[in-house]
Amino acid sequence: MDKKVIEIKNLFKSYHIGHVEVPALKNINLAVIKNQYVVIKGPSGSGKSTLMHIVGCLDRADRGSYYFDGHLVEELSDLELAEIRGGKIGFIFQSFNLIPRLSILKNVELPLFYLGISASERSSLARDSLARVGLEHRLTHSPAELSGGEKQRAAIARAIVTNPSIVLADEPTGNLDSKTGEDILKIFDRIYRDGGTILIVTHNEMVAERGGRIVTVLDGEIVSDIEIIRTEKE
Amino acid sequence: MLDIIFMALESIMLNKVRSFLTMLGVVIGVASVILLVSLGEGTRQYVSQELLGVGTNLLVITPGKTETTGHAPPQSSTTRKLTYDDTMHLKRNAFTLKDIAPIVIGTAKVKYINRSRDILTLGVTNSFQDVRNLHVEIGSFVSDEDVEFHRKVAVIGRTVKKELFEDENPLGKMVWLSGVKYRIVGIMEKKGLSFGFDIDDLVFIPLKSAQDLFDTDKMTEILAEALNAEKVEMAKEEIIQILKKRHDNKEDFSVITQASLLSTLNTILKVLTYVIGAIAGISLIVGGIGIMNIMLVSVQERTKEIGIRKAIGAQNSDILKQFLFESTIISSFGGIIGILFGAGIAYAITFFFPVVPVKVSLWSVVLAFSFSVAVGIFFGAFPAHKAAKLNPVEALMYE
Ligand SMILES: Nc1ncnc2c1ncn2[C@@H]1O[C@H](COP(=O)(O)OP(=O)(O)O)[C@@H](O)[C@H]1O
Ligand SMILES: [Mg+2]
Repeated sequence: MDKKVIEIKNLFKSYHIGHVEVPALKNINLAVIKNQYVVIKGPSGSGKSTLMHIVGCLDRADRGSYYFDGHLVEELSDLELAEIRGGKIGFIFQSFNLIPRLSILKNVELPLFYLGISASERSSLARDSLARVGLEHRLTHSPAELSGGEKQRAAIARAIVTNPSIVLADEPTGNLDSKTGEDILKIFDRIYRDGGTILIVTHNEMVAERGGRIVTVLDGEIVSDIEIIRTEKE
Repeated sequence: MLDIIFMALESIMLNKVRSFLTMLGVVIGVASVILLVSLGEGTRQYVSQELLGVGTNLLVITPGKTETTGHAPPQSSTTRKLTYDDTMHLKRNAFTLKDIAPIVIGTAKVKYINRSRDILTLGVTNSFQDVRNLHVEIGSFVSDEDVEFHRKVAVIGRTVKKELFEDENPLGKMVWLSGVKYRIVGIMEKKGLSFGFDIDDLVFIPLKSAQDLFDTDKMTEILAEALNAEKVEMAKEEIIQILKKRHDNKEDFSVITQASLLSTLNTILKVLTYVIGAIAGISLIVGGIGIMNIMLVSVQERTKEIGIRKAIGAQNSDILKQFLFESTIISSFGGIIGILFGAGIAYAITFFFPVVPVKVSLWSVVLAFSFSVAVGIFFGAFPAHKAAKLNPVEALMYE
């Protein structure tokens, strides 16, 4: 069954700098179904991050409709959005965005904390998640003590610890060398193989090839949407 | 809940110096509130105690009208004196009085062999002892015969004894009071200081002898003791009635009751305590502004962190709580330290300067603590609200 995790229809978003309107997204239509691996690519400034922020319920669109897991996001309150961000979405950033003064374990526990999960369960889930990305030996380290690749792995552990409906990643390898980036991409492959749904942004061709579907964005518009080799298994 | 408190504690500990300096404002505010209120309370209790020691049944009659209610005192009539006859008359006619003690006060040069000093000397009758609640300890007090026969006998206080006689036994010794020879017949019990005045530094002589010595026929004041506490007001009325009749129907004297004095002083000192407490409280508000200032900086610094927290599911209320707890913990800790500090200084004062009355009262501690908690919540609310309202994307982009 093609359960749509994300469904975006005729979505527009502009930024306002003073009185100047800067259109960032123009008439976006996009649907992602469960256990799909979608890569969004496009040059810098094409609106990829803007789109990801809206998909990640961090920002709201100006016009159009966005359904997440069947819920019309425009109608949700700030509180409901926070709940979706916390429980149903795992967001991975280019710059890792770990909280520097918390240990790796605490960082990974944090989404569970906001979901109101007990301390002991938090700890065991976070350890499991860190083990999935191969960081079980770095629990008490602070982010500053980790390499870039390790930081991103910790960030992935944090994103998947809640077992989200979708994992969103905005240029996850952008700050990493290609070898380390490759390691990170392998983790995404594994998440996908384990049944996860992934929406990943990149302007790197090598990264783009990993996905089952490549969406190309240019100047705020989707210019192509191609499914390659792998499709839904059912 | 506990986790959020723990989280707030963590951020406080992370910036120890800054948190401490922020706290200092509250510490100083609370400490000064505690200290000043303790001083005020101590003074009030001290005054009450001293006045109660004198006796609440006491009435003091002084010449002249001091309680001017409304109209100005008549310029023409000179103040009429209170005489010994007034006293006798009161004694014979007042039903509500237990006893009466006229007093003539003057300063006499007291000389023993080659030691001499100016000492406050009170001409009294035997009733003085019970009315004023000051008793002779060794020997005997001024008797009614002493008064009647203008006897040259004196009873001295402990300080006088020590300064003029040192270890010698003064009983039976002769001293000169402004050139007149007096025989010492008694030594008063030790009383110590009252309102900074040394009650032991007094000489008592028979009333009529004092009138001779100071060449006066008027009483400095007349002490009267009501039958009991309930009769004090009645006694006051009766005294006024009796004396007015003798004074051409003019109320040219004042009757002050110890009880009214006590309650007046009590009220004044209470208000004073509140006022100085409130003034000290202003410094607490200044401390609160310090907290707000630092919290605003903290929110600014942690904008990115707030963005991250929101991105992974923190609700506005979670962020609000986090910062509110932080400011409240800082201010409450400041409050606790301030209380310990203020009370510590207060106790140190009682220890090193026992004359200064200090009393740390529970209400001031409770009040100061609640106030410091309230300051944290109040001044933390704005920065916390600001943090909670941050747009997640903008916060994430903040560098
Ligand atoms: N906060 C902002 N304020 C104003 N303009 C912005 C803001 N964020 C992005 N933009 C603009 O919107 C367009 C899309 O940006 P972005 O979504 O970040 O692109 P990409 O992630 O593909 O590089 C760009 O022209 C960028 O300058
Ligand atoms: Mg971008």
